[in-house]
Parts: sequence; structure tokens; C-alpha cells
Amino acid sequence: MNRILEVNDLKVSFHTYAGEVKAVRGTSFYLDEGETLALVGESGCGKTVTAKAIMRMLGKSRSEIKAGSQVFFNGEDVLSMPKKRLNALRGKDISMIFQDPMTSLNPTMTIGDQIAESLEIHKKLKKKAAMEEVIQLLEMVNIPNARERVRSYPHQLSGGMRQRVMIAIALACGPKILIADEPTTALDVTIQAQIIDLLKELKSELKTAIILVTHDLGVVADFADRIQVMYGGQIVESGNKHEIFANCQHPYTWALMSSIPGDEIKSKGELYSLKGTPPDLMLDIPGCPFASRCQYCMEICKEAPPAKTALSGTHSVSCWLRHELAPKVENPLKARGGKNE
Amino acid sequence: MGRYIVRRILYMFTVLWIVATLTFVLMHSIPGDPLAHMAKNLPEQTKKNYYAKYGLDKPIYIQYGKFISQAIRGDLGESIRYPGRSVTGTIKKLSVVSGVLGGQALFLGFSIGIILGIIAALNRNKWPDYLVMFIAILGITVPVFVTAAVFQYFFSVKLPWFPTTGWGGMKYMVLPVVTLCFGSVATYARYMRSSVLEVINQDYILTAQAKGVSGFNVIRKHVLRNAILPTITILGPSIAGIFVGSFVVESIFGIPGLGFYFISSINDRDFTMIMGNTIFYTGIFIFSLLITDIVYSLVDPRIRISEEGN
Amino acid sequence: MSNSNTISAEKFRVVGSEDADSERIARPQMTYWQDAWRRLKQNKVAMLSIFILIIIGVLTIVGPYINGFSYESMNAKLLNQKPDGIHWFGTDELGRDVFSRVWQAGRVSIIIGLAGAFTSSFFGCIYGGVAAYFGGRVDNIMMRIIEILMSVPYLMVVILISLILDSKGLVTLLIAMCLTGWCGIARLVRGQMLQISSQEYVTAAKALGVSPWNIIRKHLIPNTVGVIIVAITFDIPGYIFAEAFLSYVGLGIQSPNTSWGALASAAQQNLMFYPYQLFFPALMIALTMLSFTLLGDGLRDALDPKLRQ
Repeated sequence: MNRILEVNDLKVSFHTYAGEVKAVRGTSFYLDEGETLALVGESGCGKTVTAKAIMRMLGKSRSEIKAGSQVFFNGEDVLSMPKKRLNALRGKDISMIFQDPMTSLNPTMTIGDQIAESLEIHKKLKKKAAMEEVIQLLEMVNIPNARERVRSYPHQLSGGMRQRVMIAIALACGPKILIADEPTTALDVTIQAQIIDLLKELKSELKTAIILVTHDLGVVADFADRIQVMYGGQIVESGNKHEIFANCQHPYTWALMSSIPGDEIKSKGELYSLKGTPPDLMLDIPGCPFASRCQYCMEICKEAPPAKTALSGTHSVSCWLRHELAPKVENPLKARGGKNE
Repeated sequence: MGRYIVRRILYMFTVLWIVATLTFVLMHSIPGDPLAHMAKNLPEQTKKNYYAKYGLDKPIYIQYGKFISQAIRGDLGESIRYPGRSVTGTIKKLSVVSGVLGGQALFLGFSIGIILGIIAALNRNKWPDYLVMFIAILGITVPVFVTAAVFQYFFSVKLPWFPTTGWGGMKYMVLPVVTLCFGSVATYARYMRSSVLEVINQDYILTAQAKGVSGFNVIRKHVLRNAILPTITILGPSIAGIFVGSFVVESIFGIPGLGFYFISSINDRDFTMIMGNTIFYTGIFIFSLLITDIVYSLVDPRIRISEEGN
Repeated sequence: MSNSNTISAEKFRVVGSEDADSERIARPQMTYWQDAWRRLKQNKVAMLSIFILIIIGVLTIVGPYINGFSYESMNAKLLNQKPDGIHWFGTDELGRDVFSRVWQAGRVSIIIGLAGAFTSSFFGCIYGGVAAYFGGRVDNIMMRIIEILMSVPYLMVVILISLILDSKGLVTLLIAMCLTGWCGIARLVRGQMLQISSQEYVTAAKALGVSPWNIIRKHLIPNTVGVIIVAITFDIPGYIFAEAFLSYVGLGIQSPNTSWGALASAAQQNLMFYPYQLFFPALMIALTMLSFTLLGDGLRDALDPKLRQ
């Protein structure tokens, strides 16, 4: 498998008036050609920041990608690329779509022009030639009446259609990686399904690798090949779909999985919810970031960060429960009686 | 779109009519009639003729009817101070001068202000920003008669670069136009700066960057187009500001324009002149508000296209 | 990473999370006003403005008495003196001490600024609040009236009213200025209240059965007060300027009372020869207006709940 993205020890901080917020605290992962990697976690865990950092989209003024962080795209060092090369990379090699389609398109430009802009920059097409391709792209994302729609303005389109336009823009130049930052969060459920289906279709056609940032496990189950669970700015567990859904090992992942309504619905039992709130990222957290909310928290968890343990070639978890001196804890989901397959 | 314009024009005339009426009412409610002190020493017969000429011997509603019917035809009466001088005629003649002065000031104010605002926003919290904001603050807070006096003092008296007063060629225009546009430059700079800053934080700018659009083009195609829209809405008020400024600037620089005349008619208590001027200025102001609205609805696709029914 | 030998087995005893721990709020809470004040304090420009305004305020109170010359007494032997050790700002064409005159004038200008701003804001708030509260037809009509009143450039209205009322006292001046000056604030207050009532927290309050009076008291008013404060702060220099402009045109404060505008106007004639006579009142006008404007900017940033951190 061709490794097209490699991220090593990524650390990102934001300098605010109140202090330094360490949003991402040393994440490392990779992406192979054509696969879909999901970054999962609750709001504020650092998944969006990680995704944006890959393309250096964080906004220079307040953010800092700390020294020692590395991002390699096909062996090329992204973090130290000159501006010109970076602009050539964005939109052509790596693309991104954002969460809120209602505000992500320029209200004073037609959607045709906005899609064509990508083609004009990277494929050096002139307006006319670009327009033909734009129409094809609109058809590819299932927008009806593409030929007329080209001259529409964003406010004339519904949320679902605008998100499709975003996808068309992102895929216009056939990028190797598409980063989708919560692409369905702002849409209703039926539209969500359509968008995810569209992404699946396009992925298999264009062989694009996708990094899907989301907090919705349902979407993940449907779509991802590998999953990374983030908490408090760090990756706490990662593995392929089967490993995570059938045999996850981190207490936080257990909590996430437990939150998915299952048999309680039939028996009218109480829904599970994890108590507490995420940690304050301005503070240094000496131990495991999940310690304050973990029901299996041990003394050592509060004092020192756990090491990353490899459970298989693809499955790894960072938890003190893996340590030989730790008590053996059964996966509570198994106890409940068979979670999703 | 057409229906909208027609509605707005009707509205404009209604407002103008109301203002004219109010002005009429106000002028005639002055304790002791305005002509009293002019006619005080005239012999009885002359006074009667005088009153008859100006229609002051008739009941008020007849005077009003006469006033309105004349106004519609464009006749705003005669100057009280200078009998025989038609108000409309005077306005027509002098507004050319004021128009040239004000028009240039507006144009310069708008263009320079917008450019400075962009520079300030793009260099936020660095020295160009502070410099532009400093100039802008001065423009807003220093009263126009002070700036006029200062410019006159430094660039006409101390350094004899420009004539002190008068009107007639390019060199007469420089100081007055610069003084007059100062306020507009300040207003537009401040407004554009905050507009650009707001637009820069929008999501669609992020989308443009993610496409690999160069920094320059992000500013040109995405930021500016959106940032300049709101500044159109303040054209109306800035025109009002230019009117007011012109009263002072024309007086100080001795420019024979409408503002200068308005000030002197105030000092002379020339009421027909004052009324006529008020209606004229109000008319232009309302008209410019109308134009601004129309231009804005044409330029912003969100308004233009939804009007056509979507 | 320490190896297993050095970590005692003790450490691996499960203690679980304490609810208190996880629900603990990391940083102290601050009320809206405390937060606003803190933000304002950080804004050095705004703080400087407050400082300058306080100094100007104090000087207008005690200034006329400081150097021993009354603002009215004329000294025929010392006409049009340049500023020197005795007459710090020089003397005017009647031999009066400019320093004392400037501060005496300041009282009038600032009082006009404050009185004008507060009076018109008071009426504007009520008008705007009523329009927003009743909504519908009433609101429509009330707003139309404002639109019509605002069709005439403000200063023209002021000039006209001053002409009509014809006495040049402080009160008539204020009437002239406030007659249409309240329109801006009325619109602002109405707009703000309408915006707030459409916010979800107000709908939530209504759904919880909160009485209309309490909704007004606890939600509408506190969220509008910030906007009103900022508007008043910006209005004050507007009124000072309007008065100065009127004096310049000959309609403002008359002798023996004086204001900065009147001083500037009188000094206009002598600009070429005695520029200092214009300089000091003009400086005061500009400095006061500047400080209020910068303070207004600072207040607006400090009170904007969206910028709250």
C-alpha cells in the first residue's frame, strides 16, 4: 500500500490573551492511498485542528505548529514548503471540505465560477474550457440541470446542494487526499445519507483517500476503513473498523460506543452518558487526558502519560490498563451482550 | 426590480412633500412675521404692497396652496433679502460650483478612504493600521472649520502654495477639496477596515485558501467584492456630511457656492432662501438615499436575484 | 517512560473518577460586566481616553480659577498677547485671559454634549423600546416617522429650529439639537430589542413561562444597555460638534457666555495674526471629541458579547 501521508508528533498551540491553548499534543498517524481514515472525538478534542494543520490552514496569526512536528505528503515536507508550492498542493493534491455549507461559499460569485477557479489555477484552463468541465463535475455530484445551475449563486441552492458544490470544488482536480471536516453535521439526516453515499461513490471512482473528521459514529461505521479516537488533543486509540467496533480497548472508546443507543431502547432503560467535561487545554496534563472522567482511573493515570501499546499490526491504544501491573478489565460492551459487528 | 424602484420614487416624493410642508409650517410659525423687521419702517401703502406681493395678507392655507403649486413647478419664490432674485435661479447657478466641489470631495473621499481601509485591515495591529486609524480618527473628530483653518494657515499663509480664497481654476480647488474630503476619507477608511476584517473571518475565505488561491487573489476576488458592499450603504450619510462640510469650507475659502449662500442667508434671515435651500438639500439627500438603495440591490446578488423570484 | 520495575503496584489501584473532579470548572466565572470592565482595562487607548477626559473635566471645573484671571475681565493694555508666563494661553482682542476663557467655555460645551446626548438618548430609548414592544403596525408607523425625520440632514434641522426659536440660550439650543437627535438611538434600540427577542434564549424563557415584564427586565434590557452606553458615548462628541458648528454659523451660544465653538468662531477672523486664539479652543474640541470616540470604540469592543472570552 502506498503511504501518501505521514504525520509525526504533531503539536499545535493557539496563543490567546489568556494563555497558550495546547490544542494538539503530539499526534502521529499515516494515510495510505485510497483508504478512508476517520478522526473521531467530541468537540474540542483537537480533530479539526489536526486536519487543518495538515494543509497549514490554521491561520498564521494566532496559531503555532510547534517545532518537531512533521507532516509528509508523498515524502514532501509540507510544513516547510514555500508558499507557492503550498498553494499548488492545496486544491490539487490535498483538498478540504468544511462543515457549514451555508457559509462556505462566496455569496457574490456564481457556483460555476467558484468551481472553475480551481481548474483555472491548477489545470491552467481558460474560462470556456473550464466551464465544460464544471458542468461535468456538477453532474458527477448529482446536481440536476447542471448546465443552467452553473450560473446560480449559492443563496439559490439548498444546504445539501451547496455541500455537493463544495465536494465538486474539492474534487475538481483529482486530489489524492480529501479532508472532510464534519461534512454532514450541519445537514439533516436524509441529506446526510445522500452526501455520504456520494462520497462513497466518488471515492471508489476516483480512488481518493479520505480523512473524515466527525463525532458521529454512525457515519463512521458506514464509511471508514480505519478509525482514530482522539481525546484532549491526543490519539487514544486507533485501529481498523472491525477492531474498533468489535474490540475497542480504551475506556473512552468504550464510553463512546456505550453512548450508541442499543437495547435500552427496547427495554426503556436509561441511556448511557459519560459524565464530566473535556479537560482545559490551557493546562498541562501530566497524566492521561481522560483520567478525570475514567471510571477505571488509577493513581498512575493521573501522574504519567500512558505509552502506546500495539495490540496488532493496525490496532494500538494508549492506556495504563495495558500495563502488566494493571488489573484486567473486561470490555464492558461485551458484557452488555454483543455490540455491533 | 422595476416595481421596487417605482415604489421608492413615490416614497421619495411623499417625503419631500412632507418636508416642504413642515418647513412651510415652521417658517410661518415664527413669532413676529419674518417680513416685519424688513417692512417695519416702510410707509403703510408700501407695506401693503409688500405684503400683497408676498401673499402675506392671505389666509395661511391659500399661502400654502400657492407655495406647493409653485414648488411643484420648480419655483421656490423670491429672496426676501434681495427682492427680485429668484430662489430657484440662485440655487441653479450656485449648485454647479458646489456640485463640482462636493463631487470631487466625495469621489476622492470614497476612493482614498476605501484604499486606506483595506491597507489598515490587511496590516491589522501593525504600523500601517495604526497610521490609517490615526488619520481616520482625526478626520472624524477634528471639526471641519478647524481643519479648514489649519490648511488655510499652513498651505496658504505660511507656505504660499495655494490661494487663500476664491474660485476659478485648479489651484483654487485643491485646499477646499482636500479639506472637504477629509471627513469622508476617515469615515470610509474606518468602515471599510471593519468590513474587510469581518469578511476575512468568513468561512468562504477558508474555502478559497483551501483551493490554493494565491493570497493576492483571495483578497481581490473574495474579500474585496464582499467587503465593499456594505460601504455603499453609507453613501447617503456621507453625502449629508459633505453638504454640511461645504457650508463651512465655502465660507472659509470664499467660494461662491450654495453652502456659502446658505450661511449668509441664515445670517440675513432671508427666509424664502433658507426654505428653498432646505428643500433642495433635502431633495438631493433623499435622492441619493434612493440611488444608494438601488445600486446596492443591483450589486448584491442575494438581493438582485431573489427579487426576480426564485 | 519509566519501566515497570520502578512503578509500584500501588499505583495501579483503581480509584475511578470523582464526579467533583470532572465537573470542576477550571477557571473562575465572571459576570458579563466584570468581563467587560476587564477587557476595557486592557485597552490602553480607551484607558488613556478616560484619563484625558477626567483631566479635561477637572480643568473645566477649576480651570477658570487657577491663574487668577476671570474669564470676563478685560484688560485694555494687554490686547492680543501671545501665550506667556502670566497668560498661559495668551489674551484675546478684548484683553481677556484665554486660558480661563477656554475652561469656562469648556463647561458649556461639555454640558451641552452630555445633556444633549443623555436627553435624546432617554427619549430615543423609550421610543425604540415602545416600537419594539408593540411591533406590527405600531412599529411600522413609528419607524416611518423616524425615516421622515431623518430625511433632512441633521444639522440643517438644527439650524432651522434655532432660527425659529430665535433665542440663543442653552435650553433652546438643546431643544434644537435633541428634536431629531433621538432618532438614531431610537432605531438602534428598537433594532437591538427585536434582534434579542428573536434569539433562542428569549423563546426558551417564554416557553418556561417567564412573564413579559421579567423577560423585558432580565433579558431585553441588560442586553440592550451595552449598545445604549456605546451609542451615548459616540453621541456626546456629535453634540459638542453640533454646538461648535452652530456657534461658527452664528446661531450658538451668545456673549457673555461662551463655548469652545464660539471661541473658535471669534478667533477665525484673527487666524492669520493670532493663530493661538483658535488653536486652544480647537485643540480642546478635538481632544474631547477624540477621547469620547476612542472610548466609545473601546466600550463597544469590551461590551460585545461575541468577543467575550
